Amino acid sequence: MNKFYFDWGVSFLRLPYLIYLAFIITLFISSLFIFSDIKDFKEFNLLSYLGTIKFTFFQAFLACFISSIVGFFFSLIFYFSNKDPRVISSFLNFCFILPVIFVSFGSIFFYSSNGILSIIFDWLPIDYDMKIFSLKGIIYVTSYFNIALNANFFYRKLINIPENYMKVLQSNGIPFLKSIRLQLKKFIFSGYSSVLILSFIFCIGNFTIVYLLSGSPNLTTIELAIYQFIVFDADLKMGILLGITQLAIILLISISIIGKTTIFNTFTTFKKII
Amino acid sequence: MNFKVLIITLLLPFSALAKEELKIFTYGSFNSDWGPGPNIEKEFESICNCDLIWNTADSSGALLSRVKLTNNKEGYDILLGLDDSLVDEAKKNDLFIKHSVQTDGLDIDWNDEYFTPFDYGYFSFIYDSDKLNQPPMSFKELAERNEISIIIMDPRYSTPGLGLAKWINQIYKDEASNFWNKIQDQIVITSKSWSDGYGLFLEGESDLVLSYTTSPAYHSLVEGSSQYKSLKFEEGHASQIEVMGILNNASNIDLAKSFLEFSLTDGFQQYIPQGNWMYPVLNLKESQKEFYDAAPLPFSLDQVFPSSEEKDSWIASWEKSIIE
Repeated sequence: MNKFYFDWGVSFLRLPYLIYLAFIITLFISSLFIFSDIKDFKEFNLLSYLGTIKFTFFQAFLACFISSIVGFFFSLIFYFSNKDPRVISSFLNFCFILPVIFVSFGSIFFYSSNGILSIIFDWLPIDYDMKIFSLKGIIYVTSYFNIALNANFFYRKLINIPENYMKVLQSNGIPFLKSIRLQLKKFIFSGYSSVLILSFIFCIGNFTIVYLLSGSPNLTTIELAIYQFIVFDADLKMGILLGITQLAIILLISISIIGKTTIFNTFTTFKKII
Repeated sequence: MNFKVLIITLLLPFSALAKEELKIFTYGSFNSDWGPGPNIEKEFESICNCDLIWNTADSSGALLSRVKLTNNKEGYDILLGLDDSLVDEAKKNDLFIKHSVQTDGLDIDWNDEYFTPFDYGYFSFIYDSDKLNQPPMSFKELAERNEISIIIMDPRYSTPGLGLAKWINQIYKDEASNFWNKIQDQIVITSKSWSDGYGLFLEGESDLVLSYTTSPAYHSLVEGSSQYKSLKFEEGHASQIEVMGILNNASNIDLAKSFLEFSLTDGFQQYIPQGNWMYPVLNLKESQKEFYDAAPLPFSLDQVFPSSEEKDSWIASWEKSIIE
Protein backbone atom coordinates (compact mmCIF):
# COMPACT_ATOMS: atom_id res chain seq x y z
CA MET A 1 0.00 0.00 0.00
CA ASN A 2 2.80 2.34 1.00
CA LYS A 3 4.61 1.44 -2.22
CA PHE A 4 1.48 2.45 -4.16
CA TYR A 5 1.32 5.87 -2.51
CA PHE A 6 5.06 6.32 -2.96
CA ASP A 7 4.83 5.50 -6.69
CA TRP A 8 1.83 7.80 -7.04
CA GLY A 9 3.76 10.61 -5.28
CA VAL A 10 6.77 10.17 -7.56
CA SER A 11 4.50 10.21 -10.63
CA PHE A 12 2.90 13.38 -9.34
CA LEU A 13 6.33 15.00 -9.00
CA ARG A 14 7.01 14.07 -12.61
CA LEU A 15 3.78 15.68 -13.76
CA PRO A 16 5.15 19.21 -14.46
CA TYR A 17 7.92 17.71 -16.60
CA LEU A 18 5.43 15.57 -18.50
CA ILE A 19 3.08 18.50 -19.08
CA TYR A 20 6.00 20.60 -20.27
CA LEU A 21 7.16 17.78 -22.56
CA ALA A 22 3.63 17.33 -23.96
CA PHE A 23 3.39 21.07 -24.55
CA ILE A 24 6.65 21.13 -26.49
CA ILE A 25 5.74 18.04 -28.54
CA THR A 26 2.35 19.59 -29.39
CA LEU A 27 4.06 22.79 -30.50
CA PHE A 28 6.53 20.91 -32.69
CA ILE A 29 3.81 18.79 -34.27
CA SER A 30 1.72 21.87 -34.97
CA SER A 31 4.77 23.39 -36.61
CA LEU A 32 4.66 20.64 -39.24
CA PHE A 33 1.41 22.13 -40.51
CA ILE A 34 2.83 25.62 -40.85
CA PHE A 35 4.06 25.22 -44.39
CA SER A 36 1.49 22.68 -45.48
CA ASP A 37 0.30 25.13 -48.14
CA ILE A 38 2.92 25.33 -50.90
CA LYS A 39 2.02 28.98 -51.59
CA ASP A 40 3.49 29.95 -48.24
CA PHE A 41 6.99 29.12 -49.42
CA LYS A 42 6.80 32.01 -51.86
CA GLU A 43 5.82 34.44 -49.13
CA PHE A 44 8.42 33.22 -46.67
CA ASN A 45 11.23 35.76 -46.37
CA LEU A 46 14.21 33.64 -45.37
CA LEU A 47 16.64 36.57 -45.13
CA SER A 48 14.34 38.48 -42.79
CA TYR A 49 13.71 35.31 -40.71
CA LEU A 50 17.41 34.51 -40.33
CA GLY A 51 18.23 38.18 -39.72
CA THR A 52 15.75 38.34 -36.84
CA ILE A 53 17.15 35.17 -35.23
CA LYS A 54 20.72 36.38 -35.72
CA PHE A 55 20.03 39.76 -34.13
CA THR A 56 18.07 38.25 -31.21
CA PHE A 57 20.92 35.99 -30.18
CA PHE A 58 23.63 38.50 -31.02
CA GLN A 59 22.16 41.17 -28.75
CA ALA A 60 21.45 38.59 -26.04
CA PHE A 61 25.04 37.23 -26.06
CA LEU A 62 26.50 40.73 -26.16
CA ALA A 63 24.31 42.02 -23.31
CA CYS A 64 25.05 38.89 -21.20
CA PHE A 65 28.78 39.17 -21.84
CA ILE A 66 28.95 42.88 -20.98
CA SER A 67 26.72 42.59 -17.93
CA SER A 68 28.72 39.60 -16.56
CA ILE A 69 31.99 41.51 -16.68
CA VAL A 70 30.60 44.84 -15.48
CA GLY A 71 28.46 43.10 -12.85
CA PHE A 72 31.54 41.29 -11.48
CA PHE A 73 33.48 44.55 -11.19
CA PHE A 74 30.54 46.25 -9.50
CA SER A 75 30.37 43.38 -7.01
CA LEU A 76 34.06 43.89 -6.18
CA ILE A 77 33.47 47.62 -5.66
CA PHE A 78 30.55 46.89 -3.33
CA TYR A 79 32.56 44.19 -1.52
CA PHE A 80 35.48 46.52 -0.80
CA SER A 81 33.19 49.40 0.16
CA ASN A 82 32.38 47.52 3.41
CA LYS A 83 28.85 48.89 3.44
CA ASP A 84 25.95 47.02 5.03
CA PRO A 85 25.29 44.00 2.76
CA ARG A 86 21.53 44.38 3.25
CA VAL A 87 21.63 47.94 1.90
CA ILE A 88 23.70 46.90 -1.13
CA SER A 89 21.49 43.89 -1.87
CA SER A 90 18.35 46.02 -1.57
CA PHE A 91 19.83 48.60 -3.91
CA LEU A 92 20.72 45.94 -6.51
CA ASN A 93 17.33 44.28 -6.22
CA PHE A 94 15.67 47.66 -6.63
CA CYS A 95 17.63 48.22 -9.90
CA PHE A 96 16.47 44.84 -11.16
CA ILE A 97 12.78 45.30 -10.39
CA LEU A 98 12.42 48.76 -11.94
CA PRO A 99 9.85 48.70 -14.78
CA VAL A 100 11.55 48.21 -18.14
CA ILE A 101 9.58 51.05 -19.70
CA PHE A 102 10.68 53.41 -16.91
CA VAL A 103 14.37 52.65 -17.51
CA SER A 104 13.93 52.86 -21.29
CA PHE A 105 12.27 56.28 -21.18
CA GLY A 106 14.79 57.42 -18.58
CA SER A 107 17.61 56.45 -20.96
CA ILE A 108 15.95 58.35 -23.82
CA PHE A 109 15.54 61.39 -21.55
CA PHE A 110 19.18 61.21 -20.50
CA TYR A 111 21.07 60.03 -23.58
CA SER A 112 19.08 61.16 -26.65
CA SER A 113 20.34 63.89 -28.98
CA ASN A 114 18.22 66.35 -27.03
CA GLY A 115 18.71 64.74 -23.62
CA ILE A 116 20.43 65.92 -20.47
CA LEU A 117 23.85 64.54 -21.45
CA SER A 118 23.64 66.27 -24.82
CA ILE A 119 22.86 69.60 -23.11
CA ILE A 120 25.82 69.18 -20.73
CA PHE A 121 28.22 68.29 -23.57
CA ASP A 122 26.87 71.17 -25.60
CA TRP A 123 27.57 73.51 -22.70
CA LEU A 124 31.17 72.27 -22.25
CA PRO A 125 31.41 72.30 -25.47
CA ILE A 126 32.18 68.74 -26.63
CA ASP A 127 30.71 66.90 -29.61
CA TYR A 128 28.06 64.47 -28.47
CA ASP A 129 27.07 61.67 -30.80
CA MET A 130 25.40 58.97 -28.71
CA LYS A 131 22.55 57.38 -30.65
CA ILE A 132 20.19 55.85 -28.11
CA PHE A 133 17.89 54.52 -30.86
CA SER A 134 20.38 51.91 -31.97
CA LEU A 135 22.05 48.67 -30.93
CA LYS A 136 24.07 50.68 -28.40
CA GLY A 137 20.87 51.87 -26.72
CA ILE A 138 19.35 48.38 -26.66
CA ILE A 139 22.50 46.84 -25.17
CA TYR A 140 22.84 49.66 -22.66
CA VAL A 141 19.32 49.32 -21.23
CA THR A 142 19.31 45.50 -21.40
CA SER A 143 22.67 45.36 -19.63
CA TYR A 144 21.43 47.75 -16.94
CA PHE A 145 19.08 45.07 -15.60
CA ASN A 146 21.54 42.22 -16.03
CA ILE A 147 24.40 44.09 -14.38
CA ALA A 148 22.27 44.41 -11.24
CA LEU A 149 21.44 40.68 -11.36
CA ASN A 150 25.06 39.65 -11.92
CA ALA A 151 26.47 42.09 -9.37
CA ASN A 152 24.03 40.83 -6.74
CA PHE A 153 25.00 37.20 -7.43
CA PHE A 154 28.76 37.84 -7.26
CA TYR A 155 28.42 40.13 -4.26
CA ARG A 156 26.55 37.46 -2.29
CA LYS A 157 29.22 34.92 -3.21
CA LEU A 158 32.00 37.27 -2.12
CA ILE A 159 30.48 38.11 1.27
CA ASN A 160 29.89 34.41 1.91
CA ILE A 161 33.57 33.53 1.60
CA PRO A 162 34.62 32.30 5.07
CA GLU A 163 36.62 34.92 6.93
CA ASN A 164 39.26 32.38 8.00
CA TYR A 165 39.88 31.43 4.41
CA MET A 166 40.52 35.05 3.50
CA LYS A 167 42.85 35.44 6.49
CA VAL A 168 44.87 32.42 5.41
CA LEU A 169 45.23 33.84 1.90
CA GLN A 170 46.25 37.25 3.28
CA SER A 171 48.76 35.73 5.70
CA ASN A 172 50.37 33.98 2.73
CA GLY A 173 50.70 37.35 1.03
CA ILE A 174 48.38 36.52 -1.87
CA PRO A 175 46.62 39.65 -3.24
CA PHE A 176 42.83 39.46 -3.33
CA LEU A 177 42.42 39.49 -7.13
CA LYS A 178 45.13 36.82 -7.53
CA SER A 179 43.46 34.72 -4.87
CA ILE A 180 40.21 34.92 -6.86
CA ARG A 181 42.03 33.75 -9.97
CA LEU A 182 43.89 30.94 -8.19
CA GLN A 183 41.67 29.78 -5.39
CA LEU A 184 38.24 31.31 -5.29
CA LYS A 185 36.95 31.20 -8.85
CA LYS A 186 35.23 27.85 -8.42
CA PHE A 187 33.64 29.11 -5.24
CA ILE A 188 32.49 32.42 -6.73
CA PHE A 189 31.31 31.02 -10.04
CA SER A 190 29.54 27.94 -8.66
CA GLY A 191 25.86 28.15 -9.57
CA TYR A 192 26.55 30.96 -12.02
CA SER A 193 25.14 28.95 -14.95
CA SER A 194 21.59 29.44 -13.64
CA VAL A 195 22.09 33.22 -13.39
CA LEU A 196 23.59 33.21 -16.88
CA ILE A 197 20.60 31.32 -18.26
CA LEU A 198 18.17 33.65 -16.48
CA SER A 199 19.82 36.77 -17.87
CA PHE A 200 20.16 35.15 -21.31
CA ILE A 201 16.45 34.33 -21.41
CA PHE A 202 15.68 37.86 -20.21
CA CYS A 203 17.78 39.24 -23.10
CA ILE A 204 16.24 36.91 -25.68
CA GLY A 205 12.73 37.83 -24.57
CA ASN A 206 13.59 41.48 -25.08
CA PHE A 207 10.43 43.22 -26.28
CA THR A 208 9.80 46.61 -24.66
CA ILE A 209 13.40 47.78 -24.90
CA VAL A 210 13.71 46.80 -28.56
CA TYR A 211 10.24 48.17 -29.36
CA LEU A 212 11.19 51.56 -27.92
CA LEU A 213 14.83 51.80 -28.90
CA SER A 214 15.28 49.95 -32.19
CA GLY A 215 15.70 52.73 -34.71
CA SER A 216 15.88 50.34 -37.62
CA PRO A 217 13.96 47.31 -38.90
CA ASN A 218 17.27 45.41 -38.77
CA LEU A 219 17.15 45.63 -35.00
CA THR A 220 14.22 43.30 -34.43
CA THR A 221 14.12 40.50 -31.91
CA ILE A 222 12.04 37.35 -32.29
CA GLU A 223 9.52 38.59 -29.69
CA LEU A 224 9.05 41.89 -31.49
CA ALA A 225 8.80 40.15 -34.87
CA ILE A 226 6.08 37.84 -33.50
CA TYR A 227 4.12 40.88 -32.27
CA GLN A 228 4.50 42.62 -35.63
CA PHE A 229 3.58 39.56 -37.69
CA ILE A 230 0.40 39.02 -35.67
CA VAL A 231 -0.74 42.60 -35.03
CA PHE A 232 0.10 44.15 -38.40
CA ASP A 233 0.30 41.27 -40.89
CA ALA A 234 -2.28 38.88 -39.38
CA ASP A 235 0.35 36.22 -40.11
CA LEU A 236 -0.09 33.63 -37.38
CA LYS A 237 2.05 31.09 -39.19
CA MET A 238 5.16 33.23 -39.10
CA GLY A 239 4.43 34.08 -35.46
CA ILE A 240 4.23 30.37 -34.58
CA LEU A 241 7.34 29.53 -36.58
CA LEU A 242 9.37 32.23 -34.84
CA GLY A 243 8.01 31.19 -31.44
CA ILE A 244 9.00 27.57 -32.02
CA THR A 245 12.42 28.60 -33.27
CA GLN A 246 13.00 30.64 -30.12
CA LEU A 247 11.75 27.83 -27.89
CA ALA A 248 13.95 25.25 -29.63
CA ILE A 249 17.09 27.34 -29.41
CA ILE A 250 16.55 28.29 -25.77
CA LEU A 251 15.92 24.64 -24.92
CA LEU A 252 19.13 23.57 -26.65
CA ILE A 253 21.16 26.22 -24.88
CA SER A 254 19.52 25.55 -21.50
CA ILE A 255 20.08 21.81 -21.75
CA SER A 256 23.66 22.27 -22.87
CA ILE A 257 24.45 24.56 -19.93
CA ILE A 258 22.36 23.41 -17.00
CA GLY A 259 20.56 20.35 -18.34
CA LYS A 260 22.96 17.87 -16.82
CA THR A 261 22.73 19.45 -13.40
CA THR A 262 19.00 20.06 -13.25
CA ILE A 263 16.75 18.13 -15.60
CA PHE A 264 18.74 14.92 -15.98
CA ASN A 265 19.71 14.80 -12.31
CA THR A 266 16.04 15.07 -11.39
CA PHE A 267 15.16 12.10 -13.58
CA THR A 268 18.16 10.16 -12.29
CA THR A 269 17.01 10.85 -8.74
CA PHE A 270 13.53 9.57 -9.61
CA LYS A 271 15.03 6.44 -11.11
CA LYS A 272 17.12 5.85 -8.01
CA ILE A 273 14.08 6.31 -5.77
CA ILE A 274 12.00 3.95 -7.87
CA MET B 1 -40.54 29.69 -13.53
CA ASN B 2 -43.15 32.35 -12.90
CA PHE B 3 -40.48 34.56 -11.46
CA LYS B 4 -38.47 34.33 -14.73
CA VAL B 5 -41.55 35.22 -16.77
CA LEU B 6 -42.13 38.19 -14.49
CA ILE B 7 -38.57 39.45 -14.94
CA ILE B 8 -38.75 39.07 -18.75
CA THR B 9 -42.09 40.86 -18.84
CA LEU B 10 -40.72 43.72 -16.79
CA LEU B 11 -37.59 44.05 -18.94
CA LEU B 12 -39.42 43.82 -22.30
CA PRO B 13 -40.41 47.53 -22.45
CA PHE B 14 -36.78 48.51 -21.80
CA SER B 15 -35.52 46.39 -24.70
CA ALA B 16 -38.08 48.05 -26.96
CA LEU B 17 -36.72 51.42 -25.89
CA ALA B 18 -33.08 50.44 -26.53
CA LYS B 19 -31.48 52.27 -29.39
CA GLU B 20 -29.86 50.59 -32.35
CA GLU B 21 -26.09 50.37 -32.18
CA LEU B 22 -23.54 51.09 -34.86
CA LYS B 23 -20.09 49.72 -34.10
CA ILE B 24 -17.23 51.45 -35.86
CA PHE B 25 -13.67 50.16 -35.77
CA THR B 26 -11.05 52.85 -36.34
CA TYR B 27 -7.56 53.95 -35.35
CA GLY B 28 -6.99 55.55 -31.94
CA SER B 29 -6.35 59.16 -32.92
CA PHE B 30 -9.62 59.40 -34.88
CA ASN B 31 -11.65 58.93 -31.73
CA SER B 32 -9.29 60.70 -29.34
CA ASP B 33 -10.38 63.81 -27.42
CA TRP B 34 -8.71 66.01 -30.03
CA GLY B 35 -9.80 63.89 -33.01
CA PRO B 36 -12.97 64.30 -35.05
CA GLY B 37 -14.71 61.21 -33.60
CA PRO B 38 -16.56 62.75 -30.63
CA ASN B 39 -18.06 65.59 -32.74
CA ILE B 40 -19.02 63.22 -35.56
CA GLU B 41 -20.66 60.95 -33.01
CA LYS B 42 -22.81 63.82 -31.70
CA GLU B 43 -23.82 64.90 -35.22
CA PHE B 44 -24.74 61.40 -36.37
CA GLU B 45 -26.59 60.42 -33.19
CA SER B 46 -28.72 63.55 -33.48
CA ILE B 47 -30.11 62.32 -36.81
CA CYS B 48 -30.08 58.51 -36.51
CA ASN B 49 -31.62 57.87 -33.07
CA CYS B 50 -28.88 55.34 -32.50
CA ASP B 51 -25.82 54.73 -30.38
CA LEU B 52 -22.53 55.07 -32.17
CA ILE B 53 -19.90 52.89 -30.53
CA TRP B 54 -16.23 53.39 -31.36
CA ASN B 55 -13.63 50.69 -31.03
CA THR B 56 -10.04 51.51 -31.73
CA ALA B 57 -6.77 49.87 -32.69
CA ASP B 58 -3.34 51.37 -32.02
CA SER B 59 -2.77 52.36 -35.61
CA SER B 60 -4.47 52.23 -38.98
CA GLY B 61 -1.99 49.51 -40.01
CA ALA B 62 -3.42 47.19 -37.39
CA LEU B 63 -7.08 47.64 -38.39
CA LEU B 64 -7.20 45.31 -41.35
CA SER B 65 -4.98 42.77 -39.65
CA ARG B 66 -7.31 42.56 -36.63
CA VAL B 67 -10.40 42.07 -38.77
CA LYS B 68 -8.59 39.43 -40.84
CA LEU B 69 -7.42 37.57 -37.74
CA THR B 70 -10.82 37.51 -36.08
CA ASN B 71 -12.86 37.34 -39.29
CA ASN B 72 -14.79 40.20 -37.67
CA LYS B 73 -16.15 37.94 -34.92
CA GLU B 74 -16.03 41.07 -32.76
CA GLY B 75 -19.05 42.27 -34.71
CA TYR B 76 -18.01 45.64 -36.09
CA ASP B 77 -20.27 47.24 -38.68
CA ILE B 78 -17.83 49.66 -40.27
CA LEU B 79 -14.07 49.76 -40.61
CA LEU B 80 -13.00 53.40 -40.83
CA GLY B 81 -9.47 54.51 -41.64
CA LEU B 82 -8.10 52.12 -44.21
CA ASP B 83 -5.42 53.51 -46.49
CA ASP B 84 -6.06 53.38 -50.26
CA SER B 85 -2.96 51.18 -50.65
CA LEU B 86 -4.64 48.49 -48.55
CA VAL B 87 -7.95 48.50 -50.43
CA ASP B 88 -6.97 45.70 -52.84
CA GLU B 89 -5.79 43.48 -50.01
CA ALA B 90 -9.01 44.15 -48.08
CA LYS B 91 -11.12 43.18 -51.08
CA LYS B 92 -9.15 39.99 -51.66
CA ASN B 93 -9.95 38.84 -48.14
CA ASP B 94 -13.65 39.10 -48.84
CA LEU B 95 -14.30 41.04 -45.65
CA PHE B 96 -16.45 43.88 -46.99
CA ILE B 97 -19.78 44.26 -48.78
CA LYS B 98 -20.63 46.61 -51.65
CA HIS B 99 -22.15 49.96 -50.86
CA SER B 100 -24.60 52.00 -52.90
CA VAL B 101 -23.39 55.46 -51.90
CA GLN B 102 -22.98 58.09 -54.62
CA THR B 103 -19.40 59.38 -54.70
CA ASP B 104 -19.76 61.87 -57.56
CA GLY B 105 -18.83 65.50 -57.09
CA LEU B 106 -16.10 64.91 -54.54
CA ASP B 107 -12.84 66.83 -54.43
CA ILE B 108 -11.01 63.65 -55.53
CA ASP B 109 -11.68 61.08 -58.25
CA TRP B 110 -13.19 58.07 -56.58
CA ASN B 111 -15.03 55.10 -57.96
CA ASP B 112 -15.05 52.01 -55.81
CA GLU B 113 -17.99 49.77 -55.05
CA TYR B 114 -16.71 48.61 -51.64
CA PHE B 115 -15.22 51.71 -50.01
CA THR B 116 -16.06 55.39 -49.70
CA PRO B 117 -13.38 58.04 -49.04
CA PHE B 118 -13.65 60.40 -46.08
CA ASP B 119 -10.43 62.40 -46.26
CA TYR B 120 -7.19 62.66 -48.16
CA GLY B 121 -3.72 64.12 -47.76
CA TYR B 122 -0.30 64.41 -49.33
CA PHE B 123 2.86 62.91 -47.90
CA SER B 124 5.63 65.32 -47.17
CA PHE B 125 8.66 65.89 -44.98
CA ILE B 126 8.28 68.39 -42.15
CA TYR B 127 11.19 70.49 -40.93
CA ASP B 128 11.86 73.03 -38.21
CA SER B 129 12.65 76.28 -40.04
CA ASP B 130 14.48 77.58 -36.95
CA LYS B 131 17.01 74.76 -37.28
CA LEU B 132 17.14 74.01 -41.02
CA ASN B 133 17.64 77.20 -42.99
CA GLN B 134 18.00 75.77 -46.46
CA PRO B 135 15.62 72.86 -46.84
CA PRO B 136 16.03 70.48 -49.81
CA MET B 137 13.69 71.12 -52.71
CA SER B 138 13.71 67.64 -54.24
CA PHE B 139 14.39 64.00 -53.44
CA LYS B 140 17.58 64.31 -55.47
CA GLU B 141 18.85 67.15 -53.30
CA LEU B 142 17.76 65.33 -50.16
CA ALA B 143 19.86 62.28 -51.11
CA GLU B 144 22.86 64.48 -51.95
CA ARG B 145 22.84 66.32 -48.62
CA ASN B 146 24.13 63.67 -46.27
CA GLU B 147 24.10 65.98 -43.27
CA ILE B 148 20.29 66.04 -43.20
CA SER B 149 18.87 63.43 -40.81
CA ILE B 150 15.46 61.89 -41.42
CA ILE B 151 12.89 59.98 -39.39
CA ILE B 152 10.65 57.71 -41.45
CA MET B 153 8.08 55.07 -40.54
CA ASP B 154 8.28 51.35 -41.23
CA PRO B 155 6.32 50.72 -44.49
CA ARG B 156 5.24 47.30 -43.24
CA TYR B 157 3.37 48.68 -40.23
CA SER B 158 2.60 52.34 -40.82
CA THR B 159 0.54 53.91 -43.59
CA PRO B 160 2.77 57.02 -43.90
CA GLY B 161 5.73 54.62 -44.16
CA LEU B 162 3.94 52.75 -46.93
CA GLY B 163 3.07 56.11 -48.47
CA LEU B 164 6.76 57.02 -48.67
CA ALA B 165 7.52 53.69 -50.35
CA LYS B 166 4.75 54.47 -52.87
CA TRP B 167 6.05 58.02 -53.37
CA ILE B 168 9.62 56.86 -54.04
CA ASN B 169 8.42 54.09 -56.38
CA GLN B 170 6.21 56.55 -58.28
CA ILE B 171 9.22 58.80 -58.90
CA TYR B 172 12.11 56.36 -59.24
CA LYS B 173 10.27 53.24 -60.47
CA ASP B 174 12.89 50.50 -61.06
CA GLU B 175 15.58 52.67 -59.46
CA ALA B 176 13.65 52.95 -56.18
CA SER B 177 15.92 50.50 -54.42
CA ASN B 178 19.00 52.56 -55.40
CA PHE B 179 17.38 55.68 -54.00
CA TRP B 180 16.63 53.90 -50.73
CA ASN B 181 20.31 52.90 -50.60
CA LYS B 182 21.39 56.51 -51.07
CA ILE B 183 19.32 57.86 -48.17
CA GLN B 184 19.90 54.90 -45.85
CA ASP B 185 22.63 56.62 -43.81
CA GLN B 186 20.46 59.69 -43.33
CA ILE B 187 17.62 57.71 -41.77
CA VAL B 188 18.26 57.96 -38.04
CA ILE B 189 15.08 56.23 -36.90
CA THR B 190 12.55 54.02 -38.66
CA SER B 191 9.67 54.23 -36.21
CA LYS B 192 6.80 51.78 -35.86
CA SER B 193 4.13 54.44 -36.07
CA TRP B 194 3.64 58.01 -37.26
CA SER B 195 3.01 59.30 -33.73
CA ASP B 196 6.27 57.75 -32.40
CA GLY B 197 8.29 59.21 -35.25
CA TYR B 198 6.68 62.64 -35.15
CA GLY B 199 7.10 62.83 -31.37
CA LEU B 200 10.82 62.08 -31.69
CA PHE B 201 11.17 64.75 -34.38
CA LEU B 202 9.55 67.30 -32.07
CA GLU B 203 12.08 66.24 -29.41
CA GLY B 204 14.82 67.25 -31.84
CA GLU B 205 16.02 63.79 -32.90
CA SER B 206 16.17 64.65 -36.63
CA ASP B 207 16.04 67.46 -39.19
CA LEU B 208 13.13 66.00 -41.17
CA VAL B 209 10.23 63.71 -40.42
CA LEU B 210 7.88 61.96 -42.78
CA SER B 211 4.37 63.30 -42.32
CA TYR B 212 1.68 65.14 -44.28
CA THR B 213 1.54 68.59 -45.90
CA THR B 214 -1.23 69.36 -43.41
CA SER B 215 0.94 68.86 -40.30
CA PRO B 216 2.18 72.50 -40.17
CA ALA B 217 -1.47 73.61 -40.07
CA TYR B 218 -1.84 71.93 -36.67
CA HIS B 219 1.19 73.76 -35.26
CA SER B 220 0.00 77.01 -36.75
CA LEU B 221 -3.70 76.90 -35.85
CA VAL B 222 -3.53 75.08 -32.52
CA GLU B 223 -0.15 76.06 -31.10
CA GLY B 224 0.25 79.36 -32.92
CA SER B 225 3.70 78.25 -34.05
CA SER B 226 4.92 78.81 -37.60
CA GLN B 227 8.38 77.23 -37.27
CA TYR B 228 7.33 73.82 -38.64
CA LYS B 229 7.01 73.75 -42.41
CA SER B 230 6.39 71.21 -45.11
CA LEU B 231 8.97 70.60 -47.86
CA LYS B 232 7.74 71.33 -51.36
CA PHE B 233 9.34 68.76 -53.65
CA GLU B 234 9.54 69.67 -57.32
CA GLU B 235 8.93 66.01 -58.29
CA GLY B 236 5.46 66.26 -56.72
CA HIS B 237 3.84 64.68 -53.66
CA ALA B 238 2.14 61.30 -53.41
CA SER B 239 -1.36 61.25 -52.00
CA GLN B 240 -3.20 59.14 -49.49
CA ILE B 241 -6.94 58.61 -49.39
CA GLU B 242 -8.50 57.26 -46.23
CA VAL B 243 -11.59 55.15 -46.74
CA MET B 244 -14.29 53.31 -44.84
CA GLY B 245 -16.30 50.22 -45.70
CA ILE B 246 -19.10 48.03 -44.37
CA LEU B 247 -17.92 44.68 -43.00
CA ASN B 248 -19.64 41.66 -44.50
CA ASN B 249 -20.99 40.32 -41.22
CA ALA B 250 -22.19 43.71 -39.97
CA SER B 251 -25.16 43.39 -37.69
CA ASN B 252 -26.81 46.62 -38.80
CA ILE B 253 -26.22 47.09 -42.53
CA ASP B 254 -28.89 49.76 -43.09
CA LEU B 255 -27.51 51.94 -40.32
CA ALA B 256 -23.99 51.38 -41.64
CA LYS B 257 -25.09 52.50 -45.11
CA SER B 258 -26.63 55.64 -43.68
CA PHE B 259 -23.36 56.38 -41.86
CA LEU B 260 -21.44 56.05 -45.13
CA GLU B 261 -23.88 58.51 -46.73
CA PHE B 262 -23.53 60.83 -43.73
CA SER B 263 -19.71 60.71 -44.08
CA LEU B 264 -20.01 62.54 -47.39
CA THR B 265 -21.99 65.46 -45.94
CA ASP B 266 -20.92 68.68 -44.22
CA GLY B 267 -21.97 67.22 -40.86
CA PHE B 268 -19.04 64.77 -41.02
CA GLN B 269 -16.61 66.57 -43.30
CA GLN B 270 -16.50 69.85 -41.34
CA TYR B 271 -14.63 68.08 -38.52
CA ILE B 272 -11.95 66.54 -40.75
CA PRO B 273 -9.64 69.53 -41.44
CA GLN B 274 -9.09 70.62 -37.85
CA GLY B 275 -9.85 67.26 -36.25
CA ASN B 276 -8.05 64.66 -38.34
CA TRP B 277 -5.78 67.29 -39.95
CA MET B 278 -6.38 66.02 -43.46
CA TYR B 279 -8.17 67.52 -46.46
CA PRO B 280 -11.93 66.82 -46.54
CA VAL B 281 -13.25 65.05 -49.63
CA LEU B 282 -15.95 67.71 -49.99
CA ASN B 283 -14.90 71.11 -51.22
CA LEU B 284 -14.84 73.18 -48.02
CA LYS B 285 -12.29 75.73 -49.19
CA GLU B 286 -14.53 78.63 -48.25
CA SER B 287 -15.70 77.49 -44.83
CA GLN B 288 -12.23 76.14 -43.90
CA LYS B 289 -10.20 78.96 -45.44
CA GLU B 290 -7.73 79.27 -42.55
CA PHE B 291 -6.94 75.55 -42.77
CA TYR B 292 -6.28 75.67 -46.51
CA ASP B 293 -4.16 78.81 -46.03
CA ALA B 294 -2.05 77.03 -43.42
CA ALA B 295 -1.85 73.84 -45.50
CA PRO B 296 -1.97 74.72 -49.20
CA LEU B 297 -2.46 71.84 -51.63
CA PRO B 298 0.92 70.77 -53.06
CA PHE B 299 1.84 69.71 -56.60
CA SER B 300 0.35 66.24 -56.72
CA LEU B 301 1.53 63.08 -58.41
CA ASP B 302 -1.08 60.89 -60.11
CA GLN B 303 -3.33 58.96 -57.77
CA VAL B 304 -2.26 55.28 -57.67
CA PHE B 305 -4.48 52.40 -56.61
CA PRO B 306 -1.98 49.59 -56.22
CA SER B 307 -2.63 45.88 -56.19
CA SER B 308 -1.39 44.04 -53.11
CA GLU B 309 1.45 42.63 -55.28
CA GLU B 310 2.56 46.17 -56.20
CA LYS B 311 2.40 47.17 -52.55
CA ASP B 312 4.56 44.17 -51.67
CA SER B 313 7.07 45.14 -54.36
CA TRP B 314 7.38 48.66 -52.88
CA ILE B 315 8.11 47.16 -49.49
CA ALA B 316 10.53 44.67 -51.05
CA SER B 317 12.59 47.46 -52.64
CA TRP B 318 12.84 49.14 -49.24
CA GLU B 319 13.76 45.86 -47.51
CA LYS B 320 16.39 45.15 -50.17
CA SER B 321 18.16 48.42 -49.42
CA ILE B 322 18.25 47.62 -45.70
CA ILE B 323 19.63 44.11 -46.18
CA GLU B 324 22.30 45.44 -48.56
